[in-house]
Amino acid sequence: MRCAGRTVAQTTLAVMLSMVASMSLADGISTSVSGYGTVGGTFTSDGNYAYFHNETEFNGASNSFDVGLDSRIGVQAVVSFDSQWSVTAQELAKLRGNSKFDPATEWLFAQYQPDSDLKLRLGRVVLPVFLLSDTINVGYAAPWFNAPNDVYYAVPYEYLDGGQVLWQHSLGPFQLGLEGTYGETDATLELAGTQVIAKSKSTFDVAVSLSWRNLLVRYAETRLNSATTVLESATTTLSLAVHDRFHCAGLQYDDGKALLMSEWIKRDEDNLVGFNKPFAEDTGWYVAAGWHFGKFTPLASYSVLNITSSIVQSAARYGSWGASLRYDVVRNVDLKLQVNRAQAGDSAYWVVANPSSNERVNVYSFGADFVF
Amino acid sequence: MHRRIKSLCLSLALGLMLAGPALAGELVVVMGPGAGPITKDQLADVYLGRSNTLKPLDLPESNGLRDQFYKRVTDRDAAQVKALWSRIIFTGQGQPPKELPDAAAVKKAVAADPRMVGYMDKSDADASVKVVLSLH
Repeated sequence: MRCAGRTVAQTTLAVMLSMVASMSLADGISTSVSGYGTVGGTFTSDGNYAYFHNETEFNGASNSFDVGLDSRIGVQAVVSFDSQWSVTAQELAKLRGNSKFDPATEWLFAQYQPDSDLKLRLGRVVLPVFLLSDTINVGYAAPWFNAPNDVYYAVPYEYLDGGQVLWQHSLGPFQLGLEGTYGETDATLELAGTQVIAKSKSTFDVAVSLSWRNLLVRYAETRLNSATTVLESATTTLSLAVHDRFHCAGLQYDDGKALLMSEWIKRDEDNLVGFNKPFAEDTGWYVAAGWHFGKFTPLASYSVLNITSSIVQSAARYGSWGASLRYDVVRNVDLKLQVNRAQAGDSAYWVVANPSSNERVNVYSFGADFVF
Repeated sequence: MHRRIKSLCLSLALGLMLAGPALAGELVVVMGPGAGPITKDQLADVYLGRSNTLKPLDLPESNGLRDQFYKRVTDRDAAQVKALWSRIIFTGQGQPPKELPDAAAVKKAVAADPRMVGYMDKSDADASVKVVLSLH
């Protein structure tokens, strides 16, 4: 995939438009439009610490209630030309980088589905590293307000421009799923006040999942090959080639009453040439358990981040607690409250972590999710 | 004011009377005439988007049978089902079960396509379809 990211998206759009133009409405084209959103915010118990979801958010939410960080709205259109060919487009407006509330394309792909098991996609897809990566912005689909940071902060890339193959097959009571994604992506992040531009080429992700009734297990391997540019000052830049390998195992059980979710991820890297250390390496996991009491779903979680000594961090281990409550107001609107108790040194939580402090800081979030 | 309360009570009572027979009725799952039996677990997989072996049909959200069906088959209420489908819809993996206006439309659809499956009150099922599962 030699063309730039935007070019792939534009090509897909052009293909979509030409397909629309070449087919008349009488051919049975169907369009379905839907959307999702979240209105809510976050604040922390200590003004020295600003919470973020990952390093693509530069300012974070501190001890005054911030609605920018968690509010977002997405709209999706699926145009089906027949039972095999379709185009899916999803635009999402949310805060990106330095306090800009920007719309951007999350998904834009043409899909060919030769039979009910196989889907071939070309265009932009969300990079599905973790169990819930592909719906991380769809608050209504999740039991919590914010997914556990100790796992979900680790990948700054959201999408991939390239191709994707999805295969799902029923084997008696089991459902087997295979997923392969290949392409390129980029992201702008900030590490302790320093801007970093990362572009990953030849990125790929393979995942296998198996579900049986209410139980789902998934394992995914992701390779990122990031040309990383650290903007040290207006005139000095440092260029690094970072090769990340993500190994992720996830489990989800939901029988309509009990809810159990857990993920374990490990990021390892080759040592950087000339440094004899990786750029960033860590292991994270969480366990979350909840119960559906009618319209209420309380959930408790515990997550851990184990950091290996690297260029950007010293070795450390952090643990954080979380509790959330979901209330389903009506069929397509929920209200959520969440409290997380995280350590001041945990870089998965804070824009500027303080590794020398053992202090615990609370993160309070509340808001409403909706789908339409 | 008094009158308004009275009329509200009356319409509530009327609503309950109308909803009553539907709530107490027996739900049946129907497919085309040549179909074999289906288990509750298989049906839950189909209606929660976990299996693509069959094409599920829904009744409108305003129809009380719909919530009853999901409660009995999947042990989930409407919001839980919607949350599960949100994950499927917003990853472009699929669309929720096709919604048809009433039992007559469901009968017509399942009779025409052997991969379609629907549900209705037992009294609505006739010889044009085959009952593949009864939900008491």
